[in-house]
Amino acid sequence: MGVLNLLYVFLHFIITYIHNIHVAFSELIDRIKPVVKDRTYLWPADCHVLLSATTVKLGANVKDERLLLQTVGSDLKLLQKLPIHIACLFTEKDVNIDRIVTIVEWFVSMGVYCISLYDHKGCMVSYHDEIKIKLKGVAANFPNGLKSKSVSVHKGFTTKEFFNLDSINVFIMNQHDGKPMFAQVARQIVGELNYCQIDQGVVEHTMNQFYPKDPELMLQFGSFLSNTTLGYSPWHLRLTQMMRVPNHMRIRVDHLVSTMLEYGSCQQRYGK
Amino acid sequence: MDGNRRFANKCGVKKIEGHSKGFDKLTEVLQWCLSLGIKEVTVYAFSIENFRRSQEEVEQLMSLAREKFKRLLEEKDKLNEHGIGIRVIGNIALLPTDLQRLVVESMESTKSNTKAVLNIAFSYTSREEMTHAISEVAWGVQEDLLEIEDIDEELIQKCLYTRHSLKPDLLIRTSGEVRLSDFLLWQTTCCTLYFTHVLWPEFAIWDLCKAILHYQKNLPILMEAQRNSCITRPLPYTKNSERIEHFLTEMEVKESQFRNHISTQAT
Repeated sequence: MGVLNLLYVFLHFIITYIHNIHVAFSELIDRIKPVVKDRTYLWPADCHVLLSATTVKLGANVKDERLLLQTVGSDLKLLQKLPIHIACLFTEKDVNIDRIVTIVEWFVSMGVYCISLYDHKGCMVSYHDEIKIKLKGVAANFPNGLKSKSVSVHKGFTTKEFFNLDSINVFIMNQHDGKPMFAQVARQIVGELNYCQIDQGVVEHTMNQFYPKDPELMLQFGSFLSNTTLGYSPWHLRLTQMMRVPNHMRIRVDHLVSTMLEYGSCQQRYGK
Repeated sequence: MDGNRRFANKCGVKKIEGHSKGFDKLTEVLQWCLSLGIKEVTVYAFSIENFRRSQEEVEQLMSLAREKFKRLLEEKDKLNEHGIGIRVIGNIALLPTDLQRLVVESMESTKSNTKAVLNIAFSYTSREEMTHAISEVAWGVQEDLLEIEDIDEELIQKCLYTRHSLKPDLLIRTSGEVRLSDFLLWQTTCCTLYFTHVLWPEFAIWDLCKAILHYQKNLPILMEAQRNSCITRPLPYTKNSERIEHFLTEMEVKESQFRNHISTQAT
């Protein structure tokens, strides 16, 4: 039995070691070459052209990235569907606010005007004011088309009065906006209606009073090996595509573009 | 269990053949899970959204379900011997009455088995489940079993269809789609999600092992994330707990009355 145990320990060690090497190797590859997902055979030809055009050389400075995204942004709008609302799930221990503001800027340049920033620890909420100031500062440098849009930064879900469809809306969420918020909605519904009157339409109607609506795409930043939702509002994740991207400090423009193209190639059948 | 129809297309057979192969794959995977010591498995068999498929396909799927549930009832002695319990989660009132009866019978005949549990999500969507939980709570308030301030996320969790189940640790979605499609949204908030490109009827034991390996590698980070989460548990009040326990007992009574009603309905 001792020999079998030893063999088991040895095999387990080897498998874990190989797996660790594989993970480290993939991260290294991520750093050196653009991330091209393996569903590229589904993309139309112009997407490939677009992806090559956006491959940023290592060491490109910030100004280049922004210019690149502005040209890419208009092309992306024509090509495939773009998500209306993107939820960003940050799983890293430390968040760099400047970097996050840059990432939000990239989304806006690509044509996505509703972004949620979520982290399960609740750190983002404490940076709410800082994000607001920095984002407004960055918005001053937007090209003419985008300059006319105002930038609003909200804490958690908001109702219609505080939400403007024409502006750029950034929502800072934490776990209190998930299940506890659903419980709050439940208390409201129970207080108003008879139990026979409660059906899915009623709950949907009440949930729809709050913005942001369901995210079409959820991007998980960081080095978790698998997708997790970590407490993001469960009601809203019904049809959300979940994709992982590198650490928010290491992510590059071409990572984001290839993720958006990948999103565009996904087919939703809605049960049919 | 996604990918049956794509598999059927790939092999050039009818869609129902794909679904049938999918069912065979399910029995195989359940055997592997049992051997690996996995205590509970939940499968997404039929969504409420799937009722929107063509009449023909829905009829075929219902016939397939009837056939399989009948087979399950024939094997109930074997299930009882192995201690396997069957639970069907979902809004079974939407199914044809004879299928409802079969479902209730399968659940009742394996009710006392707790060694391993198979949850079949049939006529299920997560949003409908959450809505049902709210209406149960509303019933409780109306019957004076609950106060509105008793309603919190823990109470809602105890009113879901999956209230007797363990929290899922790993969710596997096959055929390359990277979304949850209204499956166990509430229950999988801190669960490892594993998406694979393999079509369900082609799912092999190595794919299962890869998924489990991912789960094992992810677990320490996930546990740490849960420890760091910002929600603090409120202190339980004894007075509320009694009231809530009483409400939950009454809810179970209501549920078993509903099931009795289904099984005693005339053909």
